[in-house]
Amino acid sequence: QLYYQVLNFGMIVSSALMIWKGLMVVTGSESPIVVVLSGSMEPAFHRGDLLFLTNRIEDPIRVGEIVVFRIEGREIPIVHRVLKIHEKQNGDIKFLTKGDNNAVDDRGLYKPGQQWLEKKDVVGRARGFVPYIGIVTILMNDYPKFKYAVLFLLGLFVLVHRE
Amino acid sequence: LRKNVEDFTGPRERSDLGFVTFDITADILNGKNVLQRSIFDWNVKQLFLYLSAEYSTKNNALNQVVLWDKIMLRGDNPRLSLKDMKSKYFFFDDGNGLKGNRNITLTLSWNVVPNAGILPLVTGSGHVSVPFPDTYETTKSY
Repeated sequence: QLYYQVLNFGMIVSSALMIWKGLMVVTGSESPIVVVLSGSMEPAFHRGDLLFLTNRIEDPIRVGEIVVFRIEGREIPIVHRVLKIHEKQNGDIKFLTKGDNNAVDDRGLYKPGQQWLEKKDVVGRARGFVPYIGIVTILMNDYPKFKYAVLFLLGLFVLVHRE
Repeated sequence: LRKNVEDFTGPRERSDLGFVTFDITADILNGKNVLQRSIFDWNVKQLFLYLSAEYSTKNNALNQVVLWDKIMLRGDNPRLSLKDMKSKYFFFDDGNGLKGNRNITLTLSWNVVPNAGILPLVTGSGHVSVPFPDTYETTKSY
C-alpha cells in the first residue's frame, strides 16, 4: 500500500519534470516561465505576473521586444524592453534595454563598465503572459513559512487523495 | 500614418549624435477585425507605442534606435496627432555612421499588451525615410 503511494508520488514528480524539460526544449529557453519580480514594466506587467518565454536562436532581437536577461554574476533575471540594437553583418549583436516604468535605460544596472547586453545574456523573449498567478511564487519566496505550509498541504493532499 | 522630420547631427568624440524632430499623425486600428474599428478590444489592456529609426552603417549592418515611446491605455484616443516632438532618447550611433547617411527609416510600431495571452508586436503601415546631412552642426541648441 505504502509502496503504491510512493510510486504514485514519484510518477507525479517525474511527469512534472518531463513537462518542464519538454517546455525548455520546445521554447529553447532555460527558463520558459518566469515571474515578474518588480514594477519596472508597469503598467504592462506587475509583480506576480507570469511570463511565457521563447529563446529561439533564429528569432532576431529587435527593438520593442520584451526580453528577459541576466546580468553576469547576478542570479535574478530582469524583464525589460529593448531600446537600441547594433547588429553586425555576421549576426553579432549588442543591445540596450530599459524598463517601461523607469526614467532611464538599464546601463546603471549592468556590470560596471558594461555598456551593452549580448545574446548570451538573454534568457528568453516574452511571447505571452498571464497576470497575478505568479504571486504564489513571490509569497513563497518572501515568507518561507508559507512555502513550507504549501508543500506540507500538497504532500497531505497527495497522500489523502490516494486512499 | 505620416511623419515629417528635420534633423541635424552633432559632433561627439566617438559617436555621432543625431537630432530629430517629428510630427506623428496616426490612427491605430485593429488589423484583424475590420468590423471592430478600435484596437482596444476586450482583451487589450494597453498599447506600447514606439518610434524607431532603422539604418545601416559601415560598422554595423543593422541599427535600430527607439527615439520616442508612449503608453496608450485602454480608453485613450487611438488617434494620434503630435506635432513638433523631440526625441525622448538620445540618438547615438555606435560609431560615426549618421553623418551623410541618406537612408534612416523611421517606423511607428506598437506592442499589444493583453489582459492575458500573447504579446504581439505590430508595425504600422507607412514609414518615412530621413537623410542626415554631410556636416556636423556645432551651434544649434536643442
